[in-house]
Formats: sequence, structure tokens, C-alpha cells
Amino acid sequence: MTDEGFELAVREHRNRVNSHAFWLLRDGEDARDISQEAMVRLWRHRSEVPDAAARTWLLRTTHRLCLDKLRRRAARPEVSEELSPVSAWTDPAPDPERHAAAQALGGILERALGRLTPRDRAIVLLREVEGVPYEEIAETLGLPLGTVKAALHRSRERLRETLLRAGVHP
Amino acid sequence: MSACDTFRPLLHERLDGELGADAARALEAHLAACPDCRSAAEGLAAVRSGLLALPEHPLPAEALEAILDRTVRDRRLGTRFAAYWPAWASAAALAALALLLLRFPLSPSAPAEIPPGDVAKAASEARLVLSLAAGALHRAERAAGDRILAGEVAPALRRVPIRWAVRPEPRKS
Repeated sequence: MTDEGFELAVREHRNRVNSHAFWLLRDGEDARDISQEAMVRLWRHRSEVPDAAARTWLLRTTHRLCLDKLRRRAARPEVSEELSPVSAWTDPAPDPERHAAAQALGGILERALGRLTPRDRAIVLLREVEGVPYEEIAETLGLPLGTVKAALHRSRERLRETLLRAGVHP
Repeated sequence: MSACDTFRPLLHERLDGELGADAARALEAHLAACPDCRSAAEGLAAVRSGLLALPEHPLPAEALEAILDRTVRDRRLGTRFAAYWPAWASAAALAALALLLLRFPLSPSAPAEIPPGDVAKAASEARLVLSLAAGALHRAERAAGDRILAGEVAPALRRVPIRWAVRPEPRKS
């Protein structure tokens, strides 16, 4: 990867990387620190990373850094496994339609997401929100393809049942 | 195994756009007749809609700038510095030498008696100039060392002309 390739990759994937870190860590400041660390690591390893592999490399590194962070957090008592209220995630001036949808389902989904393991949460978000192909998720997380598919199907069902129990009817 | 058990996994494949045409037709026929599976399909679609509606978390612009400063821009700056540091160091050394020669000319016409105050002042100025030159050299060497430690040995060396002093062989008598 050239210097220019690095800059392009950082600009293209920065939001995806930051979102991934946020969803795993549920803390904006920690997510930003992890994103920066992942990108500086990409810079150090750029000679080994082809341009086409930048997204996978960044997400994989981000994921590992997040897991390390979660492990360190687990060493000290955590207030709650629940995600922060959806109102705290929203942008200061969100798109009204998007904001309304998030308000309708977000509060329920946030609790359900918080109950998934970090690995399963990462799989759900990479696939459903980021649209990352199964094969790339498997490579990113270092899991067999079948494990990724099974975990995603199971998590979808859990989220669906949560919505159903909460009385959200499609 | 009931028909529903067979068709439930296909709901996920349909959601992922991985369902073949024949399987898709069979699934649609089952959904038309099975309210439970139809409800499950709608529920899975609602989950995806809800997840997609969650707010994004973009990396703040200042964080991106900080990353570029620490990486690409720092390298560009370092490369420019590395390209010119021998010239800077040489210029500093020459300036120091010139100042010393001005104070203490080598010609025999130099006054025999120099007031002690002038000598002390000249020595102080010379020390200052030499310390500045030493500082410039130290910073230049440190910058080059950082580049080498950062795994950029080849680019750093390409830009630093190295002329090895050839020591003459001792003559055989």
C-alpha cells in the first residue's frame, strides 16, 4: 500500500471503523481512540497490506483492539451490560425520518444488542448495518464461515423475538 | 421435521439475497400458506430495518486530521527534513567556523595582545555557536534515527549520501 493508498483507505473506512468500535465499546471516546490506534497500525504495516485488503485489515484490527479493551474493562466492575439510551447516540441534528425510526425500534434493539456477546454483536452489525459479506466477516473475526452464518441467524432470531415480546409488530 | 423447520433457514438466505430461484418460489408458496413463517419473515425484516435506522458514528474530523498528522504528513515532513539535514548541519558548522575565524584570524598580523574581556566574550560566543551547531546535528541525527527505527531504513539511507573514508594501507617496508 502506498502513502496515497493509505490516505484513501483511512478516508474511506474511517466512519465504518469508528462505528464498529462504538458498537462494541459503547463509548464514543474509547471508540475514537481505538479507531485512531487501528489506523496508525495500518500505517506501520502498510507495506504488508494491499489496497484491496484495507477494510478487512482495519476492521479486524479494530475488533481485536476492542476485545482487548473489553477484557480490560471486565477486570473492573461494569455498571450495566445494557447499551446507553438511544437518545445519547443520536446526532445533534439527525435526519428526521431516520431519527424517528431509530426512536421507534432503537430502544428495544439496544437492549437486545447489549445482551449479545461482543462477537455476535460484531457479526450482526457488520452484516446488517455495514453490509459486509459473510466471507469477509469470517476473515475479519477469524471464524469459520459456518460459525458466522449460524451466529448471525441465531442473533437475528433473538432480536426478532425481543421485538415480538416488546409488542413491536411488523 | 415440519415444513416450517425446513423453510425457516431459507428466510435468512432470502434476507441475504442468497436464495436460488427454485427455493425462492417454494418459500413464497409456503409463506402464502403459513402465517407463522410469514410473521417470522416480517419480523426479521423489521430487525434489519431497526438496525439500519440506528445512528451512525462517524469519526470526528479532528480525529482524522490527527491520524493524518501522525502518519502521512509526518512522513512527508520527515522526508523533506531528511533530504536537507546534511546541508543544514554543514551550514551550521561553517557558520561556527567563520565566526571563530573572525575572532581569531590565522594571519600573523593578529594583535599580540587581546584584552582578557574580549577573549572571554569570544569564547562565550564560540561556545554558543558550537552548541547551536551541535544541537542541529543532534536533532538531525535523531530524526534520521527515528526514520530508521520506524522501518524506513532504505528511504532514509537513499537520501543520506554516505562517503566512506578510505584508510590507506600501511606501506610495507
